[in-house]
Amino acid sequence: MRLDSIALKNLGRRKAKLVFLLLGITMAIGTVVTMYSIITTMNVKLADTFDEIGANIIVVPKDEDTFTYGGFILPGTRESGLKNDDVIAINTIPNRENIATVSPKALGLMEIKGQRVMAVGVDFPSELRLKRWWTWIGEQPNKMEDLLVGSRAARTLGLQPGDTINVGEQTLVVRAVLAEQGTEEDGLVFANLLAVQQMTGRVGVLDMIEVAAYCTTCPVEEIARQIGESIPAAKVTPLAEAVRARRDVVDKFTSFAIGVSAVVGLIGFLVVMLTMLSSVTERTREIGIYRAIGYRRSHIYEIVLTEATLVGLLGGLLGYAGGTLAARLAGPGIAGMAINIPWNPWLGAIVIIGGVLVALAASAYPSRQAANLDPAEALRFI
Amino acid sequence: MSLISLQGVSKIYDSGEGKVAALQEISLEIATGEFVAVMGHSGSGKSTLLSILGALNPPTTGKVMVDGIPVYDLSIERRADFRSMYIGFVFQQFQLIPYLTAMENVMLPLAILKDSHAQQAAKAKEVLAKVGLGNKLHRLPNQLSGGEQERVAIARAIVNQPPLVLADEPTGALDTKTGQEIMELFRSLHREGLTIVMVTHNKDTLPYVERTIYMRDGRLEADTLSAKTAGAAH
Repeated sequence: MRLDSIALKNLGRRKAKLVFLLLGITMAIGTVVTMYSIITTMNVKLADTFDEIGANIIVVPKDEDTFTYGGFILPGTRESGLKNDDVIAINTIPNRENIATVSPKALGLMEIKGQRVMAVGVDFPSELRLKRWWTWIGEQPNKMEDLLVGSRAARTLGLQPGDTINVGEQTLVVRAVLAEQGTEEDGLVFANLLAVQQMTGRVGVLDMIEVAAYCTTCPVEEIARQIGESIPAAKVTPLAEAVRARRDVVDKFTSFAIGVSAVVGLIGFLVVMLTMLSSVTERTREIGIYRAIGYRRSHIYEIVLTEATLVGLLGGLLGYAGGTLAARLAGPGIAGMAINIPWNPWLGAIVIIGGVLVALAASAYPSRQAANLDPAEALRFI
Repeated sequence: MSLISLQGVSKIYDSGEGKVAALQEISLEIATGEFVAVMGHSGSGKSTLLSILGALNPPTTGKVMVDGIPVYDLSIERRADFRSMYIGFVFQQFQLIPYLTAMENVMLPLAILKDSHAQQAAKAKEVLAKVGLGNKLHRLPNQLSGGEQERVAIARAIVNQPPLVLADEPTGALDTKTGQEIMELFRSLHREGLTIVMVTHNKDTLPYVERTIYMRDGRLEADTLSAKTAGAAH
């Protein structure tokens, strides 16, 4: 017979109380695990989705003679511009797995119906992946001769989807008109990258590359640095605004997760404390007997805290298993996105240790009450 | 030689409606190997006296010595060690732990010592056999009769081989025949040299004891030796 046998047997005897105690700690830990699992996975997914939308890195040639396009500084001389191969260079940096989309651009002036407009040569699949908020009237542009015309440019030039335009020797088709964006894009005409390069006589030369990078596992500044090393002739600018916006979104979710976990953890703590307190009150006589037959206060602490440790261990284990299963089952529904939640042994170890610590902390006061019981009073000698 | 010595022991409780003197100026000596009954009406102070002798309840004034040790000069934890070494308690209503078997209940005082499980089990089996329960080691208290539960309580009190056993109304919850059997058991333990102090209001137990202390209103009213003991003394 050892003191832990007494603790174990007491837990085994009071099955209803044990179930209640376990339920409290399992639910608290399970909820924390579920919240943590869903929100961390969702955060990564959300951050990645956020990173895919819009560029967070701009690559332009190192050129002091510049002009403004879409709010960005562009080179004026444009003889020593970026090359098509630089797209490959970006996709071969050490952190290439962080590169979501690379959208190269060539700029040129195009004369349509006697008016000069700014044409932006793009790779349509990449550009449309980057500008997911774009909507248009007409069909999705994809071919060499396709044009996507900004709303103001379409109005000014009198263009509609399906119109055909002759530009130099090329015949181009207005495939779609971009919905009004409220930006400089409304006055631009987007054409195939190669078509614009041919039209301007600068085949293989780029004026700008927009990059969307996943910044969860690698800071955007580091990715920009690697691109700069890979393309020495380029000026690479990480967009602090985009990074800050992404961080704000992720931080909000994290704060929400911490808040909910703290509330549930507190409820679990109170459930354990009240149950242990009631257990100590119920066992006043029993504790009086232990003290009378020579048990020290430290022995009583040991019995009560051993019970708490056992409950914490079991509750932590059940909470981890239940919480992860719940997250795997309900996660995609709650998050509203396809997320895959893995079994995380580190999380398991942390919550089991956490469960024991919560149970011990919640039992500190009840065990003190038990240890300080006056045996004469407990046995009603007084 | 005195095992127990009380000098001017008083116990005063604050009941909320004023002070109540449960014990007043008690002085007595109990020798090693004596079997003493403490008798008195309800409220006479006999249970308070027992708890003070058992190092559970500090007196308001006076000195309590057991085996030359000033019990209440010890710290609370050292007093617990003292109880473990010197005192075996047989409580009213048996006070067994309901979720432990007879053997486990008897092993309780050993759980805080350095004995191995095998040593504890051997000692528990030996004392349970001694009290006539060698065949009911693994019964829970609710599977035992009142007399059997009392025997388990006695086994638990003597398993540590303390020099002093304090029993609080040990026959109070038993029928006459079982009460006599329990008193026979106490007598045989006493004959082995154990000092026993028993609080009782059952006069049927008096033929088994050597000495009877009568209490009234917190004072010693009388202190008598049994005829047999008195005869032997003369």
